[in-house]
Amino acid sequence: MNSKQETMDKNNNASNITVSYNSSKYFSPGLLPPVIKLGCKNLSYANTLKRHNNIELLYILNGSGTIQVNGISYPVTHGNCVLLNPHHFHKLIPEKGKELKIIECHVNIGTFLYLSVSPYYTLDPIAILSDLYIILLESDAILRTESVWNRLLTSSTSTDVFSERLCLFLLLKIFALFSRYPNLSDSKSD
Amino acid sequence: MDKNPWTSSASPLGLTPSALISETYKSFSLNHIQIKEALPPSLENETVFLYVSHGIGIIKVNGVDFELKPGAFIWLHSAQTYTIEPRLGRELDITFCVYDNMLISYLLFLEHTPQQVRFFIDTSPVVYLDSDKQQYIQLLFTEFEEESMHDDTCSIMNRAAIYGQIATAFFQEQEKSAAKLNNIQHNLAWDMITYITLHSFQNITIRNVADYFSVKTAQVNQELRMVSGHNFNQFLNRARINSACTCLIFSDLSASYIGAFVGYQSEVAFFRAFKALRGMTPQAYRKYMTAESKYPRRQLIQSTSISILHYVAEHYLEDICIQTASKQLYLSQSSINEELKNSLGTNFKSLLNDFRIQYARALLQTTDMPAIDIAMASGFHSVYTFSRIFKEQTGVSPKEYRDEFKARNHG
Repeated sequence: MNSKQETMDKNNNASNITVSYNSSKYFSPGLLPPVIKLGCKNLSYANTLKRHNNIELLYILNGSGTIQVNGISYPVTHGNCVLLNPHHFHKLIPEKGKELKIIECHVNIGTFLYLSVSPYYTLDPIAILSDLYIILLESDAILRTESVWNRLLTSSTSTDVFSERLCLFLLLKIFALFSRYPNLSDSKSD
Repeated sequence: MDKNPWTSSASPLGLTPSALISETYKSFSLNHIQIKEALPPSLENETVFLYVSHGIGIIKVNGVDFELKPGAFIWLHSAQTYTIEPRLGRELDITFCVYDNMLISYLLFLEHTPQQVRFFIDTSPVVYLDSDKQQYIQLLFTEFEEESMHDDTCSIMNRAAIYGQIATAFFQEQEKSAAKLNNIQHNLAWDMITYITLHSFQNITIRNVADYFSVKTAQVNQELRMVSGHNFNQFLNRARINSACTCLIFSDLSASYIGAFVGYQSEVAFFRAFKALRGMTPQAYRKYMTAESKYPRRQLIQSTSISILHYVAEHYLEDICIQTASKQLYLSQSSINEELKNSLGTNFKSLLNDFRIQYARALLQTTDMPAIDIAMASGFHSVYTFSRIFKEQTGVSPKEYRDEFKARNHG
C-alpha cells in the first residue's frame, strides 16, 4: 500500500492534475490521436484494385457504378454508403461514359475502437471489423448525411484542436447510419 | 440519499441531484425550463450545459455575477455553486442538458494537459454566442429532438455525437472569448475552489490552501461557506467522490485502487465518504450504474481487451504471437487470454487466426496466388498450418474454397 501510494504521489506531482478521470492515460496511446483523412473524388474510369490498413468509408455523391470487393460485384448508386475493412480488396468501376463522384474517408482502427467502447451503446467491434457493410440511405436521410459529410470535409481541413474533436463526433454519426439501415452485402454467407 | 445534508440542496431545475443521476442524463435528454423568479443556490454532482433562448437575468457562479441574455451559453461543472435570477418581468427560457463526469471525460478530455484543464475551470463559464452560432446550436437541439423519437442504437449514437458537438461548440467559443476579454474578475473563493478541484487528487489539507492564499484556515472555511454552503472538507470530499464515480465505470480498477487514486489516504475514509455522498458503497454504485438503472450503460469499459484487439487488428499480417503481444502491451500471457475470454469470448490464438484466415480468403477470392504465398502473406509460417487452420474454420481446403468461389461467381 505504501509503495503504491508513493508512486501515485509522484505521478500526481508530475502531471496528474485532473478534474475528471483522464481516459487518454487509461486507453492505450495507440488508439488515439485519431487519424481521419478524407477527400472528394471524381472517377471517370475504374481505379486500381487496392486495400488499406485503415477502415475506409465510401459515400457515393453522384452517378452510379459497381464496386468490386473480394471478387464480388455490388451495384452502387447515389446514396450508398460503404464500410470497407483492411482485408477487403476493392475497386470502383463507374458506369460507362459517366462520372462517379465519391467521398472517401480513411479512419485508423484505433479511432474506430475508441468510438466502439463508449458506455452508452453496444457495438461488436470484432463483427464490424470482419464484415463488409453496404447500405442505401432513404431519400430523407440523404440530405442530412450529405451535410454531415460536408461539415466533416470542412472541419478536417482546419487544424485546431476543436475541429479534430468535431471530426470524431461527425464520424460517429456516419457510423451510426450502419446500425440503422440493413446491410445489402452478402459477405456473411461466404 | 435524500437525508444526506451534502446533496440535499434542491436543484433549481426542479429536480433533486439524485433524480438527475437516475433519470435525466441516462437517456440523453434535452430539457426545457422557464424560470420566473430567483432560485436558491445549488450545486450539481454532474456537469450541466445551459442555453438561454429568451429573457434577461443574472447568474451568480461561485460568487461572481454574469449577465444572462438570449444566446448565453453556460457550462457548470460540479464545483460551481450557482444562482439564477431573472430580471423582473423577463422570465428566462432555458434549455439544458446534463452530462455525467464520465461522459465529459470520455468526450472531451481525450488528450488534455493540466494547463488545458486549468483553462477550462478558470475561464468564464458563460459565453455569448453570435447569431450564426445561435442558429447552429438551435439546429443541434432540433436534430436532437428528432433523434429522441427513436430508441435504437443509431439514435443513441447520434445523440452522443450531438452532445459532443454541443460541448465542442462551447469550448471553441470559450477559447475565443477568453482571448478577447482577457479574464474575468475573480474573487478569493473562486480561486480557492479552482485550487481545491485541481489538487483534489493529491494529499491536500486546509493548511495548504490557507498557506497558498496567505490567509488563515478559518477564512478558507468562511469564504467557501459563503459561496457554496460547504466547508473545506465537504468540498474536497465532493470533488474526490465525483472523480471516483467516473473511475468506477472502468471495470479493471478495484474500488480500493480508485480510492487511493482520487486522493484518499485510507480505504475506510474513501468508503465512508462515498457512502455518505451517494448512499451506497462503490461496488453497489458500479452495479447500479451498469445494470440496475432504467437506461443501463454498456457493461463497463473493458479497455484492456480493446487494446489487445487493437494490437491484433493492426499487426496480424506481421510476425506476431502471444509472446510479442505480452511484451508490447505489458500484460502477462495468461491475463491476455483471460481478458479476451471475459469480454469478447475468445482467446488470443483464435482471434489472431480469425483475422488471418479472413485475409487469406480475400486473397483466394481476388488473386491467383499459390497457397504457400497466401500462407506467408497472411502471416502464417508454414503452408501446412495454414491449410489445417483454414480447413478447421471453413470446412474445405484453400484450393477447394477457391474453385467453389470461382464456380459460384464466374461459372
